[in-house]
Amino acid sequence: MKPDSAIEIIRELRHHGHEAYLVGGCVRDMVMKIEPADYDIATSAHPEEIMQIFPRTRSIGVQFGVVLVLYRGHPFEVATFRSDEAYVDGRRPTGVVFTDAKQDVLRRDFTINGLLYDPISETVIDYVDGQSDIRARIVRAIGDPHARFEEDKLRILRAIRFGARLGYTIEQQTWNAVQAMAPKIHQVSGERIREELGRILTEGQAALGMRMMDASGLRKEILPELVWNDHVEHSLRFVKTGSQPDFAMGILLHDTPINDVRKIVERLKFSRAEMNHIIALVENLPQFSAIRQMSVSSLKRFFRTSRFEDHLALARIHLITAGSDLSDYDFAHRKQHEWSDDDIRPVPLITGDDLIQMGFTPGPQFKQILTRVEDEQLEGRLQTRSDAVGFITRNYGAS
Amino acid sequence: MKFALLLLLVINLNTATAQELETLPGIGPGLAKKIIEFREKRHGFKHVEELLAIPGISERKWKALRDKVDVK
Repeated sequence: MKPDSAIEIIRELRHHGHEAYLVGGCVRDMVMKIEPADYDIATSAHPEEIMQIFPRTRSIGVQFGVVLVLYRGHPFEVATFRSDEAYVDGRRPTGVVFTDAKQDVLRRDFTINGLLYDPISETVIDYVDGQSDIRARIVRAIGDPHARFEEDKLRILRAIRFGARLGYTIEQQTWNAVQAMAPKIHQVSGERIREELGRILTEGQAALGMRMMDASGLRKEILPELVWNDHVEHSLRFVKTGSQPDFAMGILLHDTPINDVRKIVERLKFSRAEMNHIIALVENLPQFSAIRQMSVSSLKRFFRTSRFEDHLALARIHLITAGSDLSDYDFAHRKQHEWSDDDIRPVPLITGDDLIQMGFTPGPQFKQILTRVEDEQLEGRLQTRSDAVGFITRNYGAS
Repeated sequence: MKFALLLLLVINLNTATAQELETLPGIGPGLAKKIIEFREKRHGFKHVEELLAIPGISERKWKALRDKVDVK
């Protein structure tokens, strides 16, 4: 996204006598010559002043002085310069004090995220030597790393996310603090850990991220049950940037016993749908080695699994990484493309109502009959409704 | 029963499919598509209020929606 609208917001704030800059990840991206996905703005204007200047705003954290400005079809986070008071629970500051630009930057996590940009004079304002760390490709905490991580324990994981995603080295003091404080990650909620882990796995270089997690001791803290070996690490290289987190988790956990997989996804508070997908991915993987012995009806039923393309992708990644031949995958892939959706999910030839009309009494036998008829249909042995009626009469007797 | 469940269900803007988004009041296929494009361009929603930036989501639609969506 181009910075034009964000610059207009900054001009407007300046016009009203306030200081205002682009701040954080967007400035890092600009220095790295990457187009930012969104822009955050830091200003001397207080929340109520911001809300008076712009017609469409939403307060999204008055206590932190953050206002969402809705401008030309985009949302922008506009935040008042602040410094945080003590973080009592290791997550949230108890209160904030509105301050100046420099203090605002000094409370942030890493030097590469601590840059301000003045788009009017086109200059980077750098109180933390962030530009030299970007040039040297280093993740370094601003100030004392222990103090920074003590304020918000999630920053321990964030150090790894930025290191892996950008391919940067974590500076020695910062790395020492990551290692020393890894056991404190448990002070962060399962949801926040899951969110951050999901980003490590899907924002690029997942294998490197997990290797860093392992080396730092975070892997053992967060995923003690995970079976972590060269095969799993190598398979993570196939996770594309922008993949769904539950798919990436399936890749990560595919060598881990299913009961441990269940424990992990529950502890990390994945949504019900994500949990089911991750568990199904791990559970179904062994089926591929028997796929060529499956009957046509079993195969078609297998293909009905939700998001089957992910199951297919995992099988391929697993086989390639193991150095095995791909014929099981190729077979599944070919069959799946050979059959239309109608072949895999045909309209049933017969329903429960039809069975009642034929004189059957509703009961457990119903499901058995219907399943068998569907099997025959999937196998291509029954094509029409009267075929099905004939089949039922022959096998179950008309009553 | 199914209808009642849908009314109670909170939809996660970051993981919902277009189909799920269309169960929200005031959201048809067009807006569902816009929401997903918006999500992909910005690498996900940080705040539910960001929905308001999407052309076609009026204050009125927002009022009907706000309790039915989250971004966890």
